[in-house]
Amino acid sequence: MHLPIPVMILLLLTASAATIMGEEKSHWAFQLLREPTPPPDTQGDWSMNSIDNFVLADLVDAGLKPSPQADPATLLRRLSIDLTGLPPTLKELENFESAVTEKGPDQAYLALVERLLGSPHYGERWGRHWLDVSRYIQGKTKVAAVDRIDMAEPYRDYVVRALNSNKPFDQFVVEQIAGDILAEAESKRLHADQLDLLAAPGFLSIGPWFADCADPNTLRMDIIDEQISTTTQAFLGLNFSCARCHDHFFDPVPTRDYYALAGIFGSTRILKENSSNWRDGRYRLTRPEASQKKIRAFEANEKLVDSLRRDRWKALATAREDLLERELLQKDVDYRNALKSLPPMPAVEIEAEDYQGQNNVRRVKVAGETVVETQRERLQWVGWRPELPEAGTYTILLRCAAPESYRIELKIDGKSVLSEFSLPTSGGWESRHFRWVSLGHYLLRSGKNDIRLWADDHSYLPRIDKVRFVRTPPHRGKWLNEASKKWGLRKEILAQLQFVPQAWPPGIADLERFLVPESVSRIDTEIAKRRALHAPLPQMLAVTDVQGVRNEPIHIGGDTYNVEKKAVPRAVPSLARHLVKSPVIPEHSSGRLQLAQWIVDPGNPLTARVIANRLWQGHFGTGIVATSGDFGVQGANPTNQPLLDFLAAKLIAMNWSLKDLHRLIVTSATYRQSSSTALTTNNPDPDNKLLWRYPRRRLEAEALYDSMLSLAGKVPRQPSGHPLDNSKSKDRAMYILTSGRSPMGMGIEIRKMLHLFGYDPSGVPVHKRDSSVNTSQSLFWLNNKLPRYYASKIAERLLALPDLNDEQRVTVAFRMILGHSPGPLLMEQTFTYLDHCRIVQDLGETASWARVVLGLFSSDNFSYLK
Amino acid sequence: MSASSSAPNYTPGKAAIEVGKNGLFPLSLSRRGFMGFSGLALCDLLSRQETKAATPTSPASGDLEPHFPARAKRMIFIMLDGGISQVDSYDYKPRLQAEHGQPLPASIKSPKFTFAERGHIIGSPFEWSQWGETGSWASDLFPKVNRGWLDKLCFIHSLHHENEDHITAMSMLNTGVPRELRPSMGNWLLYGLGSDNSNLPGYVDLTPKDGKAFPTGFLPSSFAGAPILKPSRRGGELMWDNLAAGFSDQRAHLDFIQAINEESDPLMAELRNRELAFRMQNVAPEIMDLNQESKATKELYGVGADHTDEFGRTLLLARRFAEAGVRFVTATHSTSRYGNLWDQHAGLEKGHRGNANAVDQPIAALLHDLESRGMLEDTLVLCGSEFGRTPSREIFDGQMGRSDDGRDHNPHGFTMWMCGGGTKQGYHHGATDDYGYYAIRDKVSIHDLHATVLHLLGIDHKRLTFHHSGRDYRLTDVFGKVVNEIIA
Repeated sequence: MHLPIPVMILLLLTASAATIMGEEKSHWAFQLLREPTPPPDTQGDWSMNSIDNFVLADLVDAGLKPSPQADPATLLRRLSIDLTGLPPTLKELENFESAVTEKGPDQAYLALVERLLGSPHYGERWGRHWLDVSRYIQGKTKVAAVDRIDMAEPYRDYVVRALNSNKPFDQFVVEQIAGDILAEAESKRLHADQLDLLAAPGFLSIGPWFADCADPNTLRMDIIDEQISTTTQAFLGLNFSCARCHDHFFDPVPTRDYYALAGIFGSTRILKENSSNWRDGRYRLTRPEASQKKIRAFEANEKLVDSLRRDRWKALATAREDLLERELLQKDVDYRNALKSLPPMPAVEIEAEDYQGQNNVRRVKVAGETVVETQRERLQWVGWRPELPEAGTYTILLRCAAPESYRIELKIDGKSVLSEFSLPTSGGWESRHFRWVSLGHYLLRSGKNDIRLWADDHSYLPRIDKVRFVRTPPHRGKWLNEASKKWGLRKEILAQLQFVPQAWPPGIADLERFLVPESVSRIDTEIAKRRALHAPLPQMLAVTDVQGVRNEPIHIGGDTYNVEKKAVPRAVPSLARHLVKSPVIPEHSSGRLQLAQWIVDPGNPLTARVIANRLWQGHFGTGIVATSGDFGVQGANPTNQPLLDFLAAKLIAMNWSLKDLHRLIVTSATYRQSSSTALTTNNPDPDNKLLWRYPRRRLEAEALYDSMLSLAGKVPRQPSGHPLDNSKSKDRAMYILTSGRSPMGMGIEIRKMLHLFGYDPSGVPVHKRDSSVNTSQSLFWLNNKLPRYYASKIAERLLALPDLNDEQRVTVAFRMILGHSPGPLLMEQTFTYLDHCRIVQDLGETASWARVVLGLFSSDNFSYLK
Repeated sequence: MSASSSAPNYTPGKAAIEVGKNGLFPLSLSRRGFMGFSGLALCDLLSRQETKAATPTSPASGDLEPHFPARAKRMIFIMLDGGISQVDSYDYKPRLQAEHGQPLPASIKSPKFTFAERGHIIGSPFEWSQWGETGSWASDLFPKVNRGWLDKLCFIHSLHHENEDHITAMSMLNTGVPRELRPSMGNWLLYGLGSDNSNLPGYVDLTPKDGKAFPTGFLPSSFAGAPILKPSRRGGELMWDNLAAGFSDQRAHLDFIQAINEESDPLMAELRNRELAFRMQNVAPEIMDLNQESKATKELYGVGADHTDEFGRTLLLARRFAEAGVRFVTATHSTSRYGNLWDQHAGLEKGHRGNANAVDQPIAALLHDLESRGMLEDTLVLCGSEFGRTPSREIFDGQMGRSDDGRDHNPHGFTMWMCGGGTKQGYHHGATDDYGYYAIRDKVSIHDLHATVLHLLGIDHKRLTFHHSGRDYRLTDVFGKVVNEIIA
């Protein structure tokens, strides 16, 4: 790969990066973190904690004044949405108002902070913020060349739990990078903690990568790159990805550092296998989401089932010997003659490999025979178009093999004629396991018929060798009766032979067509019992070190195949080596644990600053460093570095407690300012970078949707201090499938809505949501059926409230939806509109109120955090 | 670094807009007051200029003034989904006919990875002849386009990239990278140029494959394409999500919303968008309504005729949007009616013939229509696929069962054509080898194609940048060279 950039510039740039590293006065973010002393408070009555001193100092310098405190109702709404993503309920509003009256606004606010920080919904709200950074998306992806990502929910739930339990951030980081290594080292932990440790490194594994990449070696490097890029951005606020091809142009990240990390991630296993044909492998590595005890019990049970299956096969073999000896061989000639005497049964047999089907179905050779099989478990079909000589009733038979009983649906000419049909197990996938299975009799027409077999979703089809269509003649039963009597033969065997004369004499797998020995049905009952005892365990993504860790050589220009001779030893980045000692990576470990420990070393100048800034961004909409994923030379400069350093140092001093940092921020006077102070023409800070008022901002997509959902009564509030009950929260936006199919009736509309308001379903890290405003959003509020649906639900709730006049009802509506009562003028205007709907438009009562609610949805007070 | 919701270029205060007196919106508001999408583009550029001041290391970024005189004001991209075969349409290779059934010579190496097993050469099943005054070779797949327009098309025969599957190839063609989510050509154009109509979005994506426009990647969603979906199965009009009024008498509703907002500060960006949405609701359905076209025009595009109805409607709409000032229109032809899209791994003759029948007349009509309205000289029309197809047959295991009358994907050498918008007429640029497998002369990468398209629209591809994730991004990354030879 040749970069068409003049070599001179390259040299200059790398030289400058080198100077930045070497020099004493390096880029601010790479300098030692020290806790600055807060400046003195010059306006004695405003500051509430040290944060305000830092903010005030800059405001005073710029000749600005902070804004007065927002009114209690505004603060309640701001803090509720900010900390839990849910607007206050009417009840919560009333409680807060009486607390303000009883204890005063200050005490009421502090109590509110504690209640909301203890709410299980806090973990959902801030968990979703973190899930943006760790590029989690809900459900299967359908984005460019991205394989499906499911089974990632345990990681999502781990994040929510970790935040709710206020897991120290350093521990949170280490677990996400190296939880599996910790789990191995500390196998005596409680089971739940152990599972958390195993779910946490899902962080490395949930990335969207590239099932369609044709070259497994490139794919391997792409996956490593994806992990390096996500990890360095998430924790260090730097993107090392540039250094895949060349030394980073601006930041002190030489290519060597990149490949030192590549060794660490390359020695980490997240795929089951990485084969040349993506259709054959590239599943993510999974493990059961269950205790060791349960896993052992399940495995022991599976072993038992396996041995029962072997017994079953043996029993079939014995029974077959028996049948051959006693019946078939003795009467071989009779059977053959009897068959000849029966009326002919015209049959069409086709090779299964002449199929139509999805790319997921393919041909394989089994002992010289070509058969078709599916490659991975998902909804799929395989079909044939047999040409039949005449119309009539045909029996459809498959020659197939599978170790499990798979359920199928049969469609003829697009019409489902048989569903949830369990194909019998045949004992295995191999040649000897193939047997004939009948799917029943169907009326088919002459000429081409379209026959399709569908597998259950997330399941397989059996291996199929042949498909046979046998025409049943009239009066067959009578003929059979006569023949079996005449020759003294077993009717059920004769009947089967008529369909598949080539199955004579029957093999072991086919024996069941002719008779089911009692010994076999006994074993079947036993297997079913065993299976019911231990259902398959749910799976979650797993991460482990590979067997035989290895260093990665520098790939010149990022080329997959053009590598330097000597590999780079696995190591942590060099950028903070003057501040943190580089750990020694053990010979037989990937080094993830050492990397994680280096990241959270209090001497690391980036980690605490980056997360403190993310928290600030969550509370104020913009970070002190506006580019929260980029603290490098090209990133934005901090608007108030002493403040950021103070927060970061405090976080470390508070034992990395995120909730303590939240508390510090939301109890500051800075956070409690009003947002409605007007901008004067001579204000030197029109963008409010110095925070002379609280910055108003658009709610995230999830908060908008959850607000509507909550108002319709669909999000029962869970009490503070209790663990989250997922079953009650399951309708919130963060749990909705945001990609792929959604089972909900309005799923498509919800997904479109989330996307429209800045949610990115593509599975790449998002450091700041797109909050841009566009016309499609306005069209959405105006015309989409989703807000209309919720508006009418809420209208019904409003009308169900007893003994209210219109004025009281309007007040309730405003307080519920916007968190405050309307003024007299607005009350008047609402009546005008309500009457317009009732009289001019002749809408019913519910529809008229729904229109009012819809208007409230569309207002800025609903969509904006103020 | 996204456009913030509180756009910086408004004058705050209630006096800015008086609402609710003369109906909803006063007539005094000038067009400049409602810049619509171009206003947003400007906002973002302004806000970016501000952050630039803090990071002086960033190179200069795009601005609203064209970097040099634009040859085209707008662009229509006709996307033939699945991969039209160059050696069956416009890249004439007589050797294929002569060596039908023989293996490819050893000199034509196999790519490192192919999608399927490589078979023997198949000759083009179509009739080839020379057309027009230039005597350019073309098959009989597109008789109407060839008869009327072959002398005016500008071909690039030497396009190439390395992405063997549809998804990455499509991403490459649209965004310049195969496996990342980046803004598409249309997002970039809108970001650089803004819209020409304050009542419409600047980028319209007609009948996108998955029913949604390409995501904008790191560009703010205000530069997104507005997706307009295929008609339902029973046929009829194309559909624009949420455009149809959800209920009647929305003016009273908007007045009510404005009354609620009166109590808070007016948020101009929100208000302006609500205003634009309301006007769009009135303007766009008119554009969407093909009944405003004469019977003759509709017949010209093939509207109403079985094969050409759907794509005829699509391209007629494309013209209507272009005429109304939309900068960038994509029109995707993606139907499984004649086989699997244009992706003829099997049934090459039948599939390509059916697909071509569906688009030939509409495309010829679009070119004719644009020309007769005097729009062709400043409208760039681009037509092609994410890749071409191999000269060799493919033993295909899949979709259609076992068959060997089709061609595999070939990103190593394929053809697209342009028309109008300052491109040369009757010109052929670049060439593939004797079998049409690899581009060998005057090779044009996708980055080159992007650079050239931007150039024709007056943008220097090296100066249209967006700062994201620690660096300035371009549509052409660090690559791209304008193909000056094709510019008239």
